[in-house]
Amino acid sequence: MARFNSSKFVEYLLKKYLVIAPVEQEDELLFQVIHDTKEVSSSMRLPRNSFKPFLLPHEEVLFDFENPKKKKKVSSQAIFGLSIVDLKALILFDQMFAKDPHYQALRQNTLIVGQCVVPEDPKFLNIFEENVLERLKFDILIDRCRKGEPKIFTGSRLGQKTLEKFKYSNFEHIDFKGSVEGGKLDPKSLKLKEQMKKVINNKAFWEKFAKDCIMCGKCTVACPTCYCFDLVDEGGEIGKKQAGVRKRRLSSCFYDDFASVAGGENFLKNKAERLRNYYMHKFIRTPEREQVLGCVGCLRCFQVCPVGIDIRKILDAASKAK
Amino acid sequence: MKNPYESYPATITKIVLDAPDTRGFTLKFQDPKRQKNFSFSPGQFIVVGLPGIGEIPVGISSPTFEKGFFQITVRGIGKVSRAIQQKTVGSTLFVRGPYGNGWPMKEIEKRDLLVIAGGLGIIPLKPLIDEACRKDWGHQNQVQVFYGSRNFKNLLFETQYKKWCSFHDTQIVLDAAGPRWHGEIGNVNDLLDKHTVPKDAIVTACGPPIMYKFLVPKLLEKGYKEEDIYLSLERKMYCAVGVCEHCAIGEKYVCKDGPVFSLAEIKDMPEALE
Repeated sequence: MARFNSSKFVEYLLKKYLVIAPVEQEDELLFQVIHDTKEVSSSMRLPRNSFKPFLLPHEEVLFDFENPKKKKKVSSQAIFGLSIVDLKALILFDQMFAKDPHYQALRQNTLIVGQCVVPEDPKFLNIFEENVLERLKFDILIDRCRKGEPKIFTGSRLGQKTLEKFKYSNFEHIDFKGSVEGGKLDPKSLKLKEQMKKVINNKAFWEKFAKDCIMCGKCTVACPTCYCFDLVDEGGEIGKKQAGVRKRRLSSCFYDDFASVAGGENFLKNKAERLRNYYMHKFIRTPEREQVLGCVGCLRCFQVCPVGIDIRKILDAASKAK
Repeated sequence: MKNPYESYPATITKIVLDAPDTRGFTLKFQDPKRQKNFSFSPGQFIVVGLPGIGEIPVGISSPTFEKGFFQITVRGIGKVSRAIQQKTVGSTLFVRGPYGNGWPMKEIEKRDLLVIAGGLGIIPLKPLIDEACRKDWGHQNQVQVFYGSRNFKNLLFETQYKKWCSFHDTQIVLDAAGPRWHGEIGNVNDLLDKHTVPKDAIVTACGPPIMYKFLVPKLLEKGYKEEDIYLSLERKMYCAVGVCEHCAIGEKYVCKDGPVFSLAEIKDMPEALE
């Protein structure tokens, strides 16, 4: 059986898609648009960014006042090399933006090629449970974690067709069985949620962990599950004609204007309240509403934090609360 | 798939200066079909805006049975509300909605009702009072309206009081005395001590956070049940469909699960009433 040639496969993808893949740049690994298969890094590290800029762009037009029914042209793209943690985040995005035609247009034109990359601290959140692949949505997954030849999986009809056209047949198909077993939050995440509830209203707890926070919002940019956004109306009336666009712009819950209203009220007043809200969102609100944890355990928030706020320490302290 | 961020042009057909910086706008969707099909329940809100400037969530103040138009009352406080103030009859505003849950009308119809409004909080309560003034409203039920305002000038919907009073006991209290005011002075919570109030009633309240801070303990002290006290909350909102996260409290979204919550639902979320 012919062995799977990753580099040839990327070459094949480049003919059909706009390809996004991990690229080594100034000692950092970043998902970027590539034009040549040689640009792709074979590093097994987690890229500093995730799929976010390519499925939920920092800025995106949602509505055109002049032409309300205008449809955007979306070109087909392939994201190559998404890790398991980012595939988990993708599940949450698919759920949160299920009714959003703008996200769906991009998503449905995106081929997802995953790879088995282990985050720096794989023990954190223990995401590598058995049968994890049947709980993830991907088209193709390249498992390079085991010794010897990489093992290739498909998770969709599109993935199968793509490999067939690439003339590779030695793959195993895995049917998506839903993001969580029985549609219910798994026992481990449930326990984490319940522990978080014990500290969520403890002011001193959040003041202590937010003590050094400078509210820069880097964690929210790096986090693959952060999607908070503002709506921004730009342009305006020209003569008697209504013109302008409504855009979605990603924002951060650590910024001063996130929960402030005209008249002076701010519903997230200080850094302790904002850090609390960030954890409330990921460990209580998302699991209660979406039946999945709002954290995938990638540790990017800790890696980018200029003052070293460590999510592991916060979860550890929460899990010890009585 | 419907675009949740599309808003629809509506023409301003009438403007009344109701209080300083506060105007009532009568609006009509430019698409007659949209206007005909537009319906809402009391306490729901719409998102209204101007191209290039932005959008704000505002409570609908007209009665639900008006089919030819709808009304909002806007005070010029922020960028968008001030820009709306500049508009004249014939101008276009862009509208999407209605959103949110509104007051629990099915519960309310069966019970006595205590309406408590502070300042602009009267706006989303007005359609509820209008509803209670309908001839077919259960007249065996008692309805009491308490409305507190900073001063005489700031009172909203003055032309309506006569109608309200003919159906229900309506009490108005002002923070400060003035030459044109011969009524009560104090704050709206004081009315609970000064007047006989319906016991075992549903309470619907809307006002600034500071009002809730004193009102909630007072209501509990008077024996109202947590699940019978309904409060309408204000938060920053963008999407209004429960995605953008700006209005989140606890595991709830004010735009989608609210803006009306029973006290029982939110009492364990300190951020809800702080």
